[in-house]
Amino acid sequence: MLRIRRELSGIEYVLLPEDQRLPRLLDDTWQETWEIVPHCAKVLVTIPQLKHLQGERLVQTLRSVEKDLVYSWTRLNELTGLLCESKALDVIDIDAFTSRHSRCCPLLPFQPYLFQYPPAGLLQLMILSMRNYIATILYAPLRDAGSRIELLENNCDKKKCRAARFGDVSHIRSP
Amino acid sequence: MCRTFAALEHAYIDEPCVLLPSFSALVIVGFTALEELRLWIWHKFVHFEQSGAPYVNPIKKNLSVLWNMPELVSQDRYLGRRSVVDIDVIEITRQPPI
Repeated sequence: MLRIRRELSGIEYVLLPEDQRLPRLLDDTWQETWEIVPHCAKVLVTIPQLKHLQGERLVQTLRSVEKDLVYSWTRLNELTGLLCESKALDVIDIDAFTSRHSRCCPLLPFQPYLFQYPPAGLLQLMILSMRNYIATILYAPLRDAGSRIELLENNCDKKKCRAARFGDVSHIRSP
Repeated sequence: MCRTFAALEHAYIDEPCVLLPSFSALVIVGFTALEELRLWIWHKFVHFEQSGAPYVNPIKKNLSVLWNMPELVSQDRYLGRRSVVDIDVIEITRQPPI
């Protein structure tokens, strides 16, 4: 299905009117994003098995899931690159921003990314959360089991100080 | 992610259901966000709860434990409860009758 969509997009994009190209690109990119999910799911179901494995079997299992993780990470980066290239993630330059939630929520500690085409923001949020999930939830147990993925190392180092999972969890009492 | 979510929230203020698919993303943010963003994120969960998203309460409870901020659960009914819509209604009703 994805292969057909890719082939069709190569033919049809140029034929589409300007205002329909971005929605079509987003639709195609959403499908590409869902294709990554089974790879992440495979890593997720493998993690509980790791503590029961030793020696060669552990190494082989780690190599197998590392491939899935690297594929997912690389694909997400490619999709982000594609969106940036097509200017789908262009933001509006603002000097000052007044939140419409200023009376019910705390003040924004940052300037938001106001997308020129807001639906692209939803996709961007999903891609970012998948990257975050890979770096903090999926990669961390693999790392503990002895895996090292160069691509994810830098990201993991930055995140681990933030994620409570790796940070100070001494306040959490075990039952 | 917070900057993106804030922009989406701003863009879709009249259609909060559009934000429902981004709920899982906000949960991920909750587990990895900087300390200074936590209260802001908590308010977003309250808004999700108001718009009818299920399973918000267990996530809020877990986050309050993870963040070591148990006061958030106890003060929850005071935080972010006034939705944007509520405030607009209040302001409209406060206007003198024509």
